Amino acid sequence: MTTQAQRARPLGPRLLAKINLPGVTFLIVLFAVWEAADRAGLIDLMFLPRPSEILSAGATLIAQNAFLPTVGHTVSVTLTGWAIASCSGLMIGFALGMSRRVWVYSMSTIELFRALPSVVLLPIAVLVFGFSVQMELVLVIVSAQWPVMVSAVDGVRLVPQGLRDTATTLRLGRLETARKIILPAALPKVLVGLRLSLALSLILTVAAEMPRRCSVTRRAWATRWSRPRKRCRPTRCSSTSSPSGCSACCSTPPSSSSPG
Amino acid sequence: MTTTAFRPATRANRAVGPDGPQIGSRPPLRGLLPFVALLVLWQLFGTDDSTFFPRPSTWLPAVVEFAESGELATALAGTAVTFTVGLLLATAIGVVLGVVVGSVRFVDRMLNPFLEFVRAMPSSAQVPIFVLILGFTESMKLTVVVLTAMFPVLLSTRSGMREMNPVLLDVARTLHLSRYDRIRKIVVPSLFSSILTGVRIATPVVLIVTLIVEILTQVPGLGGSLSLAQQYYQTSLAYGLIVITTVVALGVNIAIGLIDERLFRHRRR
Repeated sequence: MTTQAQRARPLGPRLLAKINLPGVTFLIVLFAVWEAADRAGLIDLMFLPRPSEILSAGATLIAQNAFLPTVGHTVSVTLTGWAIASCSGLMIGFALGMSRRVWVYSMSTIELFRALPSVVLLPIAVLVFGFSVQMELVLVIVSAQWPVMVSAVDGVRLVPQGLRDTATTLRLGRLETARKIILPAALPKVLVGLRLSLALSLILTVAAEMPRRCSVTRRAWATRWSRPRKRCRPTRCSSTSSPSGCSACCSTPPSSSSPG
Repeated sequence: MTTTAFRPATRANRAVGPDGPQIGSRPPLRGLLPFVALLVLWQLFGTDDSTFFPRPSTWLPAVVEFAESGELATALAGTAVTFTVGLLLATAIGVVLGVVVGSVRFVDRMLNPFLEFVRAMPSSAQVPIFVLILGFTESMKLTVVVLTAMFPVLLSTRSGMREMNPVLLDVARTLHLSRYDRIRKIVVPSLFSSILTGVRIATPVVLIVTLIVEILTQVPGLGGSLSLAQQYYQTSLAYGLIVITTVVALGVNIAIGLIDERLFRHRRR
């Protein structure tokens, strides 16, 4: 009865029924309480503006056409890096998974590089490429290929022996076996790796795009480790990042960490 | 090893293990050959004063000099404190939220959009927000770390709550266990393994996010020192610090592997 009634109903109410009402209500109440508490002066968060102020700031950003190009840049770097990383990770992973010899003589190296938290490559990438699109892409590609690679190795090695035997019986060549037998069988694992590396790509792109910040420690460091520098790249203070981020951090004295 | 000797045909599969290479997999050390070859070639053809690729032999003196100034100890301590406290906090918050969300459907539905929103936010994007609110402080580091790393624990605890075998609860009822006994003898042991699974996934996340925050904000820590070394073109020191970070990360990985093997051995059989 109920399902028929639902089917008979027009699209609008059916979509409405799909909306997670308690969830949406919770969000609205959360923001409303935040807004109301701030307006009433119950809480005074110096660096946490009201939701309405955040919204209007966002609207201004969009109106000034400063927001969408930034988003476009991030998304394109993320997707390009992810695509290249996926291809290379997949190929290397298949080589590792299908050939015992390749696995024996390089898997430990792969494991070593994979253990390295990829974000520590950011300083090196900045050194070599400066603040550029190449730097962002290289960082994303180098780090996002590991999940794909490892899951491809895994998927390939867990392909059932029966399927491999079929390939042998049919006298398929190596490429044919990889394309027609191994790839479909390993696909579920590979997809997991692809998903992981997409998330990683986004995180690394955002990290790579962030301008260097001046911090308290930097001054202490500068006095202690002052050596002749070979050459200086200008630190980027891009207008596209959060407008308060740069100016606030660079112009205020070190004591800014304690608001008051 | 003894079992593989009986079944040489499955050795290849065994080496990888059912859940991925990090579990019980020991790729042979011969596999380090390409890495060693790279280092040797680098040493042979590199120069000492290269800005970008100084020879590996210059890394050690740079690190020793850094260690003698006492900076290395400070950096390691900073990272270690954030890592430990972050992991503990993430576990505690994740377990509490996971139990609540897993036992009451309505709360789950209510919090779901909010939690999904927080979870989807890349940790590197959270850094500027919390720098603004909390400044370049330890609590800023911890907030970002915990907000990212609590989700594996939360999700795994939630599914543990959901999938708790109803027969077990029936057993408790049949045996007329008191509520305390039921929680102590049935609920906690059956949740224990899901919590540990979550913690296992969260541990590398904690380390990575700690390093991300340190690199982006240059607060004291391994990542901060690395970022500063890059900034002042002490490239050999940067490479040396990367080696140290890798060793730390490998240590964490190996520790997880050992704990995993010890605790979950019975499940894999």
